[in-house]
Amino acid sequence: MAASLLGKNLFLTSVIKALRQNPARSLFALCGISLGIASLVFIVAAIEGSNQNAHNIIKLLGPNSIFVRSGFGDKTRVRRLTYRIDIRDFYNLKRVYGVKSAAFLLLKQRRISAGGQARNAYAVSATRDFLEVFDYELKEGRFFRSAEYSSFPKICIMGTELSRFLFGKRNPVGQRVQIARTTMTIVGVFAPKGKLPSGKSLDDRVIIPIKTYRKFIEPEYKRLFAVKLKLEPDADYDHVVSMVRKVMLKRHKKDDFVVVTPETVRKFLNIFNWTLSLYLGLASLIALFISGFVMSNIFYINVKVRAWEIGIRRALGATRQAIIYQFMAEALAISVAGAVIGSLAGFFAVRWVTPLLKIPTVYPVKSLVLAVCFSAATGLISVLMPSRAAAHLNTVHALKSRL
Amino acid sequence: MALIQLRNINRIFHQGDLEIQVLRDISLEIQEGDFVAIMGASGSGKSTLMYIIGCLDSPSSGTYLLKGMNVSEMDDDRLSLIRNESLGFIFQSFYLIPYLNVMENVLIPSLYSSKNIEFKKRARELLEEVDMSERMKFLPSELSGGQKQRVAIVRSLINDPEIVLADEPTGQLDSKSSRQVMEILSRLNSRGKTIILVTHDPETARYAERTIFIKDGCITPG
Repeated sequence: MAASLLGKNLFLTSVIKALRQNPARSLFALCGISLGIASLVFIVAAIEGSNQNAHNIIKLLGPNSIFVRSGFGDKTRVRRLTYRIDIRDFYNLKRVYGVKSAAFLLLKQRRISAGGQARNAYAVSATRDFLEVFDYELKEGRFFRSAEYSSFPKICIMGTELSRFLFGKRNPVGQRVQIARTTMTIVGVFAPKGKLPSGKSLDDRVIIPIKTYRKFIEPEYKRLFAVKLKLEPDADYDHVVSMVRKVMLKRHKKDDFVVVTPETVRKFLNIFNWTLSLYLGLASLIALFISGFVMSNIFYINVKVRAWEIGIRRALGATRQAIIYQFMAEALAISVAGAVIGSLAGFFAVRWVTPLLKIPTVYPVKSLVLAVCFSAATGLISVLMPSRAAAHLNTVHALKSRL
Repeated sequence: MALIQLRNINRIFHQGDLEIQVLRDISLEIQEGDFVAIMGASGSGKSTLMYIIGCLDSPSSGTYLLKGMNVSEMDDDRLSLIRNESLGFIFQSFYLIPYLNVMENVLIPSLYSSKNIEFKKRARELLEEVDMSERMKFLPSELSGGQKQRVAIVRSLINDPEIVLADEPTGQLDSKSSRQVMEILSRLNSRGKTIILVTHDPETARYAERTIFIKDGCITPG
């Protein structure tokens, strides 16, 4: 028992010291493996992130809903996106059979200030069905009353993020706020809605009744950003979607709008995930293949340089298998270290790169297991040939290689 | 029964079409407890003979019996076991692994051993015996030639083998260290170890009880 423990300790010491003996070679092999693993972790994170993204979109969309927004047309930059949906489209869509309620999204960025604090945030117009269609819930205060949609009350409902910025921990209900040049009273605070896939917060805005909005925020609007439809519970979803398309095409003549449904999001997600998996997966496999190739060559060099060591170990009684184990253990040590370093590097990439790709930051802990398995497999497979070569060295020639 | 029996051993190397016969019809017997020196000039075949006796090389023809077992019929794993448990090696170049300290170098054979020995305790005792107990944590690069060879001797003894094979053990040592090393080997022989010494130096061979002369791959009367 004691002898076996001593053997294990000595074996591990021997493996670690052998790696430290040639730091440059070990480091080179380690870098290769780490790079491959980092890309693997990043891919898993990107796929998980995009999945979460899609779930967020579906959640935001809400059940039994259809979202119609202006399409990109031939312009691909969102900033240049031309709003092609107008108020007539809204009324046409509202009349589609199966639609229970509809609301349009009209918003403008304005300077909002209170208590010496000020920032630019979106002012959003609300029609009668707006809060229900867009699934707003109250945190404090109240929603708009029916009569307030047809008059010009200077009131608003504020998002939690904006409220926290302007009023800190104080209750903002009843407080006054300056929106553009108009002073309005806050009548409610809506419950947090989270962020858009683009990363923009949905809680950094104020909602204003439509007539007030038209009078004080954006007097002349013709185009809408989007229209959201809530369907009757028993409506034939697919039929309503096809009718929505038909209605839009009848007026627009071309496909300059996008109909977003949970199904389209899922379809997009599948294509996106497949593309991501294919390209990044391929890149990761190539990286791992190259790192395996590098590691294999480094170990071939090791075998050549350490031939006399292999010879003396064989003279002292090491079987061929023991020599293979020695090199395999060294490869495994590099692989495990590579998996750890690569995972950390991958997590750093997730932390800094995914926000640039507009993908939610997800740390895929389960990829750690994947990383260790892939890394160990790469290490062991790539070192199999060099260690077999080491084990089959002619002992006498190996010993003489030092002379 | 002789501990080592070589019968009509030949060793031929091939270099392309060229055939080089290094050992010719070697027959010899070494008894348990012998101290034998194999002497010969450079290229005479003495080291090749030692490699065959040490199961590091195989004869091209002939029979080699070690403790009555036919070594020529053994597979690689069995030969490794024989080297580990029955043979101890000392080389001219010491062959200490540079990244392991003295104690770790000495313990290397224990990695491959199935013997039930308290290796660490034995290593300490043996190192003390060769006056190296103070340097157990030293790396080989921190030792003199004589010290390195003493460590190599301890390593050869850690598994308590019956036979110690020493290939030019004093080849890289000064006269004082050479004397120390040979005295250790003599001491080991007096305790019953069979010592086979390969050397070209008559001074070193003088420590042996019996000398075998090799010339052009053949045993000669001397």
